[in-house]
Amino acid sequence: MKSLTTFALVIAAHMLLLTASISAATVPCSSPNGARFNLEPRANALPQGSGAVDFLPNRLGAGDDLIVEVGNDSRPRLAGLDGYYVHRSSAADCSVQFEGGLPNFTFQGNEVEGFGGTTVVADPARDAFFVADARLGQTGGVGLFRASVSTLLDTKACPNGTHTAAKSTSCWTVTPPVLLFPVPGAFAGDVFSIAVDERPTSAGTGAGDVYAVTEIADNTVNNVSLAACTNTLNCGPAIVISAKEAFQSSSYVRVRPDGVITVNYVGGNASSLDIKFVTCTPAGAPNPPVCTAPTVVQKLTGAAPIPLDINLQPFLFPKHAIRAEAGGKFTTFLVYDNCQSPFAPPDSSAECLNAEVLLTTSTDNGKTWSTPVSVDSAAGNHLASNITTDPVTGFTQIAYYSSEGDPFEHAVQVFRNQINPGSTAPGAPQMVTQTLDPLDGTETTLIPNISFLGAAARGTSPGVTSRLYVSFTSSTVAGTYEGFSAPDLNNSITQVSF
Amino acid sequence: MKHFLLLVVFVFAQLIGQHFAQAQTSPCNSPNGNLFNLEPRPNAVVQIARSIAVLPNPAGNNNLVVAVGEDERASENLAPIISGDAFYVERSGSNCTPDFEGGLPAIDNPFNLFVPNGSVSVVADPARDQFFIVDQDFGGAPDENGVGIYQTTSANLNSTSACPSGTEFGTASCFTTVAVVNITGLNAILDNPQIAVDPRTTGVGAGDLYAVVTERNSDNTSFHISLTACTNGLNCGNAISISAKNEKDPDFAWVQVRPDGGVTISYRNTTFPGVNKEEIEFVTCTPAGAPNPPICKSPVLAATVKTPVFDTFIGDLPMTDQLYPRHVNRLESDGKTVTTFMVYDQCDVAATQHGIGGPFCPKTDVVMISSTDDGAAWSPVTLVSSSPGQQFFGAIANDTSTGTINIAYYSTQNDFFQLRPQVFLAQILPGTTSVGTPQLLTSASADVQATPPISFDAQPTFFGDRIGIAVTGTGITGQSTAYVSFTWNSVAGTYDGVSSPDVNNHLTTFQY
Repeated sequence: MKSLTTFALVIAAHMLLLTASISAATVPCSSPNGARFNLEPRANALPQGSGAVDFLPNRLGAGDDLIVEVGNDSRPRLAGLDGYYVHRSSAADCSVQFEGGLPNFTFQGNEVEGFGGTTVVADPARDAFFVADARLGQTGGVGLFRASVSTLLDTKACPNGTHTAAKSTSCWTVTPPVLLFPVPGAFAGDVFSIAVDERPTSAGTGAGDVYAVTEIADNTVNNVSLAACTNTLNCGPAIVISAKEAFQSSSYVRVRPDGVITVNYVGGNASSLDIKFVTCTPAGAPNPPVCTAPTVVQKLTGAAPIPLDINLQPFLFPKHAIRAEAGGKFTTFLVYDNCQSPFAPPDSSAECLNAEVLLTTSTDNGKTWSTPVSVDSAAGNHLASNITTDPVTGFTQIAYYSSEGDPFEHAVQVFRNQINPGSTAPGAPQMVTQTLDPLDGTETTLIPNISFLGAAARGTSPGVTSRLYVSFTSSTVAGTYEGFSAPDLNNSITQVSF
Repeated sequence: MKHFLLLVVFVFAQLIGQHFAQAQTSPCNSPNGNLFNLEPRPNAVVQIARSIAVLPNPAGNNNLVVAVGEDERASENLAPIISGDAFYVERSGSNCTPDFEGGLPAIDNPFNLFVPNGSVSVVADPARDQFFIVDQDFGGAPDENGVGIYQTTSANLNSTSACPSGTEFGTASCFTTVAVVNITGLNAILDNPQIAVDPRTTGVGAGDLYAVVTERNSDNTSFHISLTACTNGLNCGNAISISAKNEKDPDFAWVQVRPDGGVTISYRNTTFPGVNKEEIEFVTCTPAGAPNPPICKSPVLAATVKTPVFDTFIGDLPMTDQLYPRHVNRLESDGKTVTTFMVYDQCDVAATQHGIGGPFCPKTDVVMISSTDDGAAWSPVTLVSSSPGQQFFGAIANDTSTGTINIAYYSTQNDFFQLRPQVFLAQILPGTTSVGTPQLLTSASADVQATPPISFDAQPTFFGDRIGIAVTGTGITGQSTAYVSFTWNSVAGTYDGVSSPDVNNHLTTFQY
């Protein structure tokens, strides 16, 4: 009985603490427009654009997640233009404790600096985050950084506030960063992706390994390459995983719960454009995995990424997520932006009149795929799709921008669509942010990936509420310029519990 | 007798009430005003409003409304209109719906064939019941520039044989008299022509027409403001320069004729490169009877704008603005004093650089100055609106029937993001020089960034660079109407059957 009473008291204390920490939250994650996720002062604010987000649930306390967001940052005083923003406070909110630009580092004696495409993944089993960005120098490539949670929580290595170059270096180079896919000069790939095998280290070959994929294109070579690294960034040689298409783009990598690596990319020639899918068996990094030949997910017609407007445009950047099913099976969900109504009049630039987010699924490890369906059939444009599956509960979340509330089909809100465990059908679209946000003001010219949303869903145990974080670009928090308020683009974040 | 008076008052009140009820339900006063062109919705292209003029129209028991703008239908294959310098005319009804429209024709004069080439504007000549339209023209080999002037009468515009209803391709019969002035070689670039007509019926210069235009000098770097006088029948004289010789970059000239026939011109002068302080100059001229040029005084400095909107973004809007000083002259009740009111856009603070983007003005204002001594001295600068957000494209018109000054402009004050404008109207009441509380004319707002999917090279961007305003009235309270011509995109086009935003010239009215 005494034990029961003690247990009840402990639970009550925890509940009180949780309540207190929530009530003390200064930057609610789930406010109608999410939260600005940077520390930039408002005077003469410059634009930030969202790249990606990931988090470790309850890592800071009950209901308090360790969150890392990355993106483009125009502030010239940061160490680089590839920004990072970290929430690590004991308040369960979406405040940012420190931020900065990913530091330059040396590769073969020459410095390489970041120039966009930043992305992040979390590794719960080893308590770490991995960040990658494009690199420019005498040799270009993809820069891969690792930061352990202990480092991110270390106020000496990663002090609060906006980091100088020295602080960025101390925060992100405890594990020396590496340059993947080295090519002479600037990195020529358009987008790239990283993923970590989240299985416990002892779970099997490849557990904890980190994979990166990218398109490589120069005068002599064009392909999609994959590189495997150990969790401490001992990386092996890149291997080609694409077929010999005329061109490739938009590669995206995930790791299944059984350690199999899955990649989607776009490949084509003058007459066709296909979304393709590759599966690879881990071989234990730095050894490269063994990959199958690509299969075709969808043959695309009229899906070219033509703009909706001057700056707002759907990207043909398919992304997939994998849900473990009973019996060691898997369901793969793949989403992509499609131009439902391309319009190309003579003597005028082509535009997309009606963008949609399509979903296709596979239950046979990518061999066959379902007929794509729109995740939101409401009027207006739906774009910038991203997808994530909570590995604990099996809920899949699709995040995207929608202009359905705007008669001009231009200002957007963040929406999501949930696929429940056991189902492959998208649910009803659900509004996440309330304000229709016109993203493409004059600042937009400074942000190359305005039409990109990051999404990460994670839970702690079945039956317990999980959380989805969506990183997005927003102009709902204004800057001040000569004392006057004016719209400012900010990397932002919002949280949904499910 | 008492009952009879009550009956008269009652009937009058009913009529007034009915009048306002009609006004309230008119398409003119809908939340977006009314679309003022006849373009079908499939594959619709851009129309940009520029200028408007209006005359009482007894023939139609209404007002005759002539709006002009830039119309991209002229760029289409199998273009339905002959040029992009377009006109839109309402001659029947009062519901802000045009009866016919078209593009200005080319002018074939003894020197060259001059083709309309933009910068179209229109004025009315109430005393002679006619309209004049001006635009830039371009002549073929040897390549020449010119200012085209078109004359038409109300009778002609009311004639369905001269000006058939619908969209006209050929329009020669609609414009009876034409002229090209300021004919220059290719290097003498012309820009921003403007005209005004002497409203008088008697006296030296009565009925004369004055055209101003910015013209590049023979050094191919500096410019001057050129003035040409034409008779009412478009017998035009030689151009004279009215800007100061030491001014390198005068531009945006605006001409008016006072009730006593005096010609007044305002323009801005600046220096390049960069955003520098700009000067607003004011010139007065005495008519000499066209085609003789008037006799003009040296420019006087009306204002120095230390924080101009020179080609800067309007807040976070992707549109840029310019200092284009526009003025009107009001005859005061003493029958002698003329008050000149001038409006222009300025930045409330210095334009600031936005990262690597172009300079932008965090707070754009429409401001007003006035003078009661022929421009020798000017009042302090007054804000037309003290609201937050961006106010821009100020336009001004004098209601000569009442002496009410009307100032129209766009404002983003009601938009959280300060991006979507509405159209406002502010008035200066007769006998006063202070700006009253602005009225909202379009309760809806528009999105300047939502543009149609069909575009052509060199077409005007977003909502152009101005709105137009004209006023007519009888002098009786409630019988004046301000017409505001503006660019808007509430009416979508259809493209392959899919609805998508389209940019159109619109019209709204305000009765007072």
